[in-house]
Amino acid sequence: MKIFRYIQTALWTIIVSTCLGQDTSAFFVLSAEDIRYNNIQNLEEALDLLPTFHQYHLDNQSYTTGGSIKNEYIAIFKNELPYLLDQNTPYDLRGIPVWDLSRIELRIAPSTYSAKNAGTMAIFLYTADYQNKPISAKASLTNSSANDFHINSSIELSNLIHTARIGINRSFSAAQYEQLADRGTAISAYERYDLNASYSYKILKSVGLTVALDNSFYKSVQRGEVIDGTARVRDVNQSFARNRILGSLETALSKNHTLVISTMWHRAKNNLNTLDKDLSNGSNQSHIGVDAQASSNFAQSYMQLLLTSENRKLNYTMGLELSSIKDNEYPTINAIQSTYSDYTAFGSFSYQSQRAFRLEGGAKLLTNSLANSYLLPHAKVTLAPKNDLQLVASYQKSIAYSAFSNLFYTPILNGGIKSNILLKPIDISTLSVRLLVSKKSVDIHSGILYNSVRGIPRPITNDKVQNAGSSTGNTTYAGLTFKNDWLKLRPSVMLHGTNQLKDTANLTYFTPEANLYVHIKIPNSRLAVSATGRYIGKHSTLVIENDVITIYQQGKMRYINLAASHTFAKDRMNLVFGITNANNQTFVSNQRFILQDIEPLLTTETRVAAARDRAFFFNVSYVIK
Amino acid sequence: MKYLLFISLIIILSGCFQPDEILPKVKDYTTEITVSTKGKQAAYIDLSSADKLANSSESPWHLKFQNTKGSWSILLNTLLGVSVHNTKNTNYDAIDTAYPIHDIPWQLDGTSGTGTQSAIGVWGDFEFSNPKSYKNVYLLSWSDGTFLYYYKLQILDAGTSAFHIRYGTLDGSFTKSQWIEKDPNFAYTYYSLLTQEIVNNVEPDRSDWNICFTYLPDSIIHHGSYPFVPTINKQVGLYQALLINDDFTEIHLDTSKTFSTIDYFYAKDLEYTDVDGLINLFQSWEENQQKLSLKDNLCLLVKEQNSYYALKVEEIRTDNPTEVTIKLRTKQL
Repeated sequence: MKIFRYIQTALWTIIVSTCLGQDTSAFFVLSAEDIRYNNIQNLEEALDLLPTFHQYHLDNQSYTTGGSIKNEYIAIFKNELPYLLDQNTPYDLRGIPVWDLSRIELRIAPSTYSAKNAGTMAIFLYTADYQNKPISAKASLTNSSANDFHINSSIELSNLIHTARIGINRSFSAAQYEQLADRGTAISAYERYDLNASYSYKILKSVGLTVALDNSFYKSVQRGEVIDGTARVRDVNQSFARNRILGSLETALSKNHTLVISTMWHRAKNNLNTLDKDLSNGSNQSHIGVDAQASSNFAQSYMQLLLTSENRKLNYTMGLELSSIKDNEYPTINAIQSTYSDYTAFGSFSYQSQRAFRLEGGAKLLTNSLANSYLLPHAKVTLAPKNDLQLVASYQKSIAYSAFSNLFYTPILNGGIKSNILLKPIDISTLSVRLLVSKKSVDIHSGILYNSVRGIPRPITNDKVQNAGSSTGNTTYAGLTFKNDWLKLRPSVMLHGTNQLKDTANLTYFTPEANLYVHIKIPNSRLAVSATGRYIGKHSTLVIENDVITIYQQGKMRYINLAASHTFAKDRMNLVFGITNANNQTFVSNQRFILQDIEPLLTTETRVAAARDRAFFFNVSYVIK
Repeated sequence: MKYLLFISLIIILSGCFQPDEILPKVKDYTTEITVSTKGKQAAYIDLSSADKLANSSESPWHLKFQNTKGSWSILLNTLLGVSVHNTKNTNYDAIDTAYPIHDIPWQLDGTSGTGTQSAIGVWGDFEFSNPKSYKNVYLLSWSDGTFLYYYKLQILDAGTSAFHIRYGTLDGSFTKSQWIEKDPNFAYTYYSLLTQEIVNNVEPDRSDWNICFTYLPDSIIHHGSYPFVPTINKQVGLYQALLINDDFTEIHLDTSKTFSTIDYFYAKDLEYTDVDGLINLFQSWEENQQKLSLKDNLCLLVKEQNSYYALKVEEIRTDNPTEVTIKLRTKQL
C-alpha cells in the first residue's frame, strides 16, 4: 500500500511539473544545503548568491537587478503560484523566509502559464516535500558573530490520508553601519516572525486537497545619521506583514487528464513610520512630509484553473487565471478606485517526434480591467530532446504592469510625478537559444538570452508618466554541474549587456560575472566542506534625472563564503560552522556620471554596501524522522 | 541541562535591536558681533559654521548690483552717505558742473518690509531678458570725511547677465564705461567708483550666510524718538537692522517660549516667513525712561532647509551711536 502511494506521489509530481507546460530545467538550483552552508536567511540574501543577480544597499534600500533585466520584470513563484503581487509593490525581499524551502530554482526563459513578468527569468521557491511519517520534526538554530540569531522549528503529522505541518521561525539580523560613529545604517537591523502551516487531504486515490498558510511579520529599524550640530536623528521604523492563504484541489479526470483548481489570497502591508528623535532627552515624534517614506498595503485575490493532458506524443495544457489587486493604503484617489483585475486564458501544446525534435507552442490571452486585451504567444523547439546533447530555441512575449504609483497616485504622493491611468502594460519579448549537455555526472547549460522591453513608464510632458521608454538586454552564459559521490562542483560564467535607455542614450554597458559553488564530502567521514565564490564586474545603471542622462556605476564585487559541516547522532544532528564574506568586501564605490557629448562626466562618488561585514556563524539542526 | 542553559543564554543575549544611544545635550554658542557705520558695516552670520561668523571684508564700495537672475536693482552704500538724484536727462554730456547740485533733492535707499528700496529705482524696461535702459543720467554724491564727491552715472544697457554703466566726474575730466557681470554665487556685486573696480569679498558666498547685522536707512518719523545715526537727508536716519538671506533662510519671531525650552519639535511646526530688513528688532525704546531696553522674551528662530536654529540677543552695547556690539546666543535645534 505504501509503495503504491509513493509511486502515485511520484507520478503526480511528474504530471504537475512536466505535463502542465512547466519547464523544470533550471539554470541554477540553490539547495537547502546551499542555504544552510551560506547562512541564507531570506530571499534578499539568496539573491546575493544566485547567479545573474546584482544587488547593493544604499541608505537602507536594496537595489536588485537580474543581470540583463530589471528585478521588477522577474516573477517569483512559490510552489508554482505567484508570490509577489505582479512585482508591483515595494516588496521587501527580507520579508520572504527561506528556512522552510527545500530549493530555490533560477530558470532562464522559462515556459510558464503566467502571462506576467515570467518571460525572461523566473525564480521558483519550493517547500520541502511531506515526509509522510506518523510524526517528524526538525529544529534549527543559527548564531553569528554579527549578533544575528535565527531559530525555527517545524512538526509534521501524517496518517497518509491527512497530513499536517506547522512551522515557526524567529530571525534577527543585525545592522550594517556605513560608519559606526555616524550611527547611520546601510542595511537596517530586522526581526522577523514566521508562521507557516499546510494541510493535505487525499480525498480519493486521484483527488487531493491542499490548504496552506504563509504568514510573516517583519520589523526593521532604519537608523539615520546624527544631524551635524545636533543630538537629533531621523529613523524609520518599518513593520511589514505578509499573509497568504492558499487552497488547491487536484483531481484526475481520466487516465490522461488532470484538473487543478488553485486559489490564493495574499496581503502585503508595509508600514513605514519616519521618526524624528532627540537623543539627548529621548523624545521623538513622527515626521509627516513629502520626504517621509510612504507606506503601502496591497491585497491580491487569485484563482487558477488548469487542465492538462498527458499522451506519448501530443500533450496539451489549457486553463484560466484570474487575478485582482487592490491598494488598501489609498483605496480611492480622486474618486478613482486604485485596483485592477486581469483574466488570462491560456493554452499550449507540445508535440514530440521520436528522437528528432519536440515542438511546443501556444498563447495567452490576457484582458486587463484598465488596459486592453493582449495576445502573448510563445514557441519552443528542442532538437534531439532525448539525446545527451540538446539544442533549445524559444521565443515568448509577456507583460509587466506599471506600479500603482504610476497608474493612480497624485503628484504629492508620487514625488511630483503625475500618474496616468491610461498607461499600457510593459511589453517584454524574450528570445533564448541554449545548448544542454547531460551526461552521467555532468550537466552543461550554455546559451544566449535576449530581451526587449518596450513601453516602460517614464515622466515626460509636464512630468506625466507615459509609456515612453524601451530597453534591451542580453546575457551570454555557460554553467556546469559536476556531481559524484563526494564532489559537487558548479562553476558558471556570464556576460550581461544592458541598454537601459535604448530610446534616448542607446548605449550598451557590459557586466561580467563568475560564480563557483563547491561541496565536498570527505570520504569515510561525516564531514563536508563548502565554498561559494562570486565575482561581479562593474555594474552600470542608466536613468534620466531632470532630463539629464545619468549613469550610476557600482564597483566590482567579490564574495567568498566558506563552511564545514558534521553530522552526529545517526545523521539526526547537523552542525555547520562557517564564515560569510570571508574577504570582508563590504562597501564598493558608487560613481555618478552625467552623459555628455564626448565622455561621461564624473559628478559624485559615494559608497554602497555590497554585503554585510565578515562574520562567523554556526548552525545546529536536529531532525526527528 | 548544561546545553539548555547554554542555548538559553545565547537566545537571551543574541538577536535584539540595540536601544538608542544617549547623546549629550548640544551646547549653545555665544558670539560677539560689532558693526559700525564707519568701519565694518555688516556682520554676516553663518549658523552652520563653528564660529558662526562668515567671511566678509570692510572694503568701501559705492554701488551694488543685484545678481539674482531677472532682477536688476542697483543699490547705494547709504552708510557711506551715497545719495542719488535722477536728472531725467538722457544726454550724458549735457550734465556738467553747471548743473545746480545744491538745489536738488538727494535720495537715499529706503527700507520696506520686503527689503531695501532702491533710490535709483526702475532704470529701464525689465520686460526684456536684457533690459532696455531709459538712459537717464543720475547724479551721485558722497563724502569720505575729507572730500565731497559728485559723479554722474548712466546705465547704458544690460546683457542677459550683466549691467553696462558709464560714469565719471561732472567736469568730464574722467569718464569710464564698465560691464558688471552677474555672479550667481553672491547676492550682489559691489563696485567702487573711486578705485574703478569690483570689490570682492564684501559679502560671503550666498550659500554661506543666513542673517546679517547691519545699519539700514529709514524714515525718522516711523521710529519716533528712537536713536539713529543722521544722514544727509534730514528725514532719513540709519538704524540697527537685521537682513535675512531669503534664498536659503526663513525666520519666525517667538515670544511664547524661553530660549532654553525651545527644541526641534517645537520649532518644526511653526510658520516661517522670508521677511527682510528688520529694523530695531531686538530693542525697544522706553519713552518714559528715555532709554533702550532689550526685548528679553524675544527669540529668533531660523530655518535653513531642514536645519533649525534658535537665536537670542543677550546684550546690545552702543557706547557710540555709530557702532554697536551685539552678544548673540545661538543653538542648533
